[in-house]
Amino acid sequence: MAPWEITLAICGAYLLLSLVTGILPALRVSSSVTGYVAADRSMHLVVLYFVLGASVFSSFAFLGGPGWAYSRGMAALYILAYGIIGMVPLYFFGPRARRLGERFGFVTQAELLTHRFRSPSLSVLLSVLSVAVFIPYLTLQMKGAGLILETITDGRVPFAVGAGVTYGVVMIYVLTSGVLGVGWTNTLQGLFMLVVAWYLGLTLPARFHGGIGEMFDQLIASGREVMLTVPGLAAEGDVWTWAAFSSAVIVSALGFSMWPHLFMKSYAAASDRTLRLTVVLYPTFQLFLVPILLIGFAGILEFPGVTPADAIVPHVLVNAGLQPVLVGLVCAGTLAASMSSGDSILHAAASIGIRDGVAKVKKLDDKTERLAIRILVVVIGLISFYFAVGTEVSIVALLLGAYGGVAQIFPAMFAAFYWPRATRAGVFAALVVGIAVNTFFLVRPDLSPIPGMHEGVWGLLANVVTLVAVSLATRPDAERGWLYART
Amino acid sequence: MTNDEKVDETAVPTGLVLFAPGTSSAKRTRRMLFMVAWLAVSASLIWPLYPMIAGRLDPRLFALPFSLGWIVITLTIMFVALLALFIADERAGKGES
Repeated sequence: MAPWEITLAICGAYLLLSLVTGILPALRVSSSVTGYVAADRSMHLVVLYFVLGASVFSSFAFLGGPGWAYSRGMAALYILAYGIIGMVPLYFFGPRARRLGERFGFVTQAELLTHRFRSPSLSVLLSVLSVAVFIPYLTLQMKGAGLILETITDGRVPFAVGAGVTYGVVMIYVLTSGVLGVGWTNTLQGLFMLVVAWYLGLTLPARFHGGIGEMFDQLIASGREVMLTVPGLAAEGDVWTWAAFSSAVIVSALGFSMWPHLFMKSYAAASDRTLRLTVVLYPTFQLFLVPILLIGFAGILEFPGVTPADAIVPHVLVNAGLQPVLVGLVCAGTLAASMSSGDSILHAAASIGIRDGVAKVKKLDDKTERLAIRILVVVIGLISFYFAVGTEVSIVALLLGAYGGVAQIFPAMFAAFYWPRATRAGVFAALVVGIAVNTFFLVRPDLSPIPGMHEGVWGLLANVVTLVAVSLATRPDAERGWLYART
Repeated sequence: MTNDEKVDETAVPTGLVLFAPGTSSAKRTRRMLFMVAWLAVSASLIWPLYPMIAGRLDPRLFALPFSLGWIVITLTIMFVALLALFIADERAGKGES
């Protein structure tokens, strides 16, 4: 067997295993939304730690991060920067959300805001926003799967086929049984990838350059000082602006704890203590991005001209003369990271779209609701696949774009807990204006007052001004305002 | 900011209510100190502080260029600050938010 055949066989075996465990009734996990999402509000430290950490274990970190380090150098540091500060807000409002969730039976993020502001239309608005930001997130996971299979087989499995088959499997098990094993499979997978990332990040620079320090010396000697100094390079190869770097950090940091599928994990924690401790330990996951980025740096001189840059990790793996079995296991692990993030995004997007969106406009019975969720799974999957195959945008850029939308939820969430004076009209208007401004500058970045500034910053400014102005002009809800401020 | 021990909950203040009524002053101080640290770390990762502190290659830290080494330092600072806050919160007893 040729090395690529062994590697592909291991990935194929993994896909088959996922499919079988996904559709065998005996192995199904509960598809009840409360059971899955809120895990009976009993998640303990180890599982919660890895479930939150799994947000790092996706195509974004494994392929997108090194892809940026490889092509744009220190620009990739924005990913580490926002992770360091972005989980902190959850330490403060996570426990409040958890206690309120326990008391009122919340399952989704929108349910909390809807309760605080007594506004079903807010729920509909949030569900539309959630589905819109989940699509690029799912698109990047699909891109990751396609790139791995294409690279390890040297193009014998075309990108579209790799992404299509992998996500065909994901869609089948999401449709038949909800979501594949959540807690422990993610934990084992996470541990495996953690070990592999450190191993490769420390050994590849030594193998190619004689050490990490030597690697950077050789990169500098080759005339790449600019790339190795923050803010690194822009996509076109010239210097990235500080406005772009800083605004990417701010928007992503504010959006980080607002991802609907992550926020929901607050409800799943067994206690305030567990939730807080998870936030405290979160930086240990972030640290793992350092060796991951080193893999990207190690590829610069050794493998110049890899396109797309997001394929650098599988490219290095295949061409570094490593054991085909190890390469296969790492690729299967990366595929698993894409799939385990992809399935929960797909499942969350469809459930939120129907439960928080459609069901608030038109009453659905249980059977219709389940059917509607399945239809939406297929629709969202196909739209994301269309974008994965049809666009050239890098994995990191896809998520960075989505963050502009997610971050718009932050002012509303902050006001829900810390500003009793905030009103329904204020929050609703703020979200509408914030999303509109963000979308406007996303489409027309040439009109941005500061070139390179992330569109989310303009959205957030408009969002906060509207929130304050409209809230002060309308009547507050003293009862709910104080309930949330003192919980 | 409404920090009085007794608040009239039928009226709504104009400002932010960062702490639930009745929060001890020790806890308020602790949390405000942490917020200052968090804001300082955040500021050191964006313009203008980041380029001033770490917009260069040398000195190397853990064999890494200084801008990347700086990230490792801030990550460590944030971890220690969070851990200190958590331990202090635990010692102060449960039931507070």
